[in-house]
Amino acid sequence: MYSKELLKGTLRTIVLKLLAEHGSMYGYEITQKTKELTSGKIVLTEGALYPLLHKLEAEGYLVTNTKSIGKRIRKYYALTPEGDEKAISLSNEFADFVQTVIYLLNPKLSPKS
Amino acid sequence: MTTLNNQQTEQVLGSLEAHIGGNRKLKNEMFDHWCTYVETHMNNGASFEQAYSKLKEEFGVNELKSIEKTYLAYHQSSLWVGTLQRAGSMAAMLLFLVVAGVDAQKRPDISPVFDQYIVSSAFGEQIHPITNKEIHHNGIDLRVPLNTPVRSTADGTVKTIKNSPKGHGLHIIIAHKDGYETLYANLSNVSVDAGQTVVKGEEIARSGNSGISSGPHLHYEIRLNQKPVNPKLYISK
Repeated sequence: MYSKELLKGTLRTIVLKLLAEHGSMYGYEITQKTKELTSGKIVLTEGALYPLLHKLEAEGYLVTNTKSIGKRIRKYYALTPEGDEKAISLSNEFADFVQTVIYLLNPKLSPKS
Repeated sequence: MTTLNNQQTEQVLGSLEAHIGGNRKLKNEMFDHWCTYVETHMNNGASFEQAYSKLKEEFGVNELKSIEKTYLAYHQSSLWVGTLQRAGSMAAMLLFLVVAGVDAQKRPDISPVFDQYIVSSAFGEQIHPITNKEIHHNGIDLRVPLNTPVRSTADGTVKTIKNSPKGHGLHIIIAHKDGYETLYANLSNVSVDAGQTVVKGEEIARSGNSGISSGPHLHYEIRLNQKPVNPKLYISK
């Protein structure tokens, strides 16, 4: 498990990128997929995930679809065109950031050294 | 996949309601989340009782309280943002509209046919009409009569014109700005050349029934950085 501070800035990127890869998903599915892909090293808590999903929806990056399963309603999230583009720009930015931090932590690896 | 029966569902709902307050939106989603949690554990061999007690263990009262707290905090802050936005200057609003307008211009955001159409197969997980197997459908199928005019959905350059009898039939790929590409397939006739530039709305082909097809239709795809995205969400006019 990573620190809360470290995860905070990457949650958006993770959620948008997962939806870009898998199409529409519901909350539980997103938490499980994240766990699976990171071998349990990144765990999305419900307290972080649902408020974020609702926020992304309000910002126009996500649309929702519901499906009834007996008494309960399952809410699926999918990317809008703005969401498709945001997923790409955020994950490119993040990959670049990771590379920069690697150079910062290991100056020998930096092409400038 | 196990599905909880009514009594089990009620039990989960009961314990959720005992801990969570009035936020309906959050409650509905947590309800499905909890039920799916229990079902997943039952699927892996646990009994309902075992799975249910594991749920209560993992989502203690404190965890739920903290979820609600985060949620409320977010809601209050977004109310603030709303007030600020309303108070914001007209100039900023206009600038936003101009930027958003330019951005949307580049996207393939019109229908590939001029007239009304029926979507005979949607984007995403679908049953293939010929093989009957579940597949991921990379585009949408528009049921249109043979020889319906097909138009480019954004400005771009014709990248590929090809005939694949065992696949998309006669098809065109157009490259647009910002990593977008559109594909028009199962055509009968093409009226552009490879390398040619086209403008949004320009007729490029006539629809057909070529390739693997169960009837006259237009298969339409939008790809962003080579990944298919849902065309239905892009078509605005």
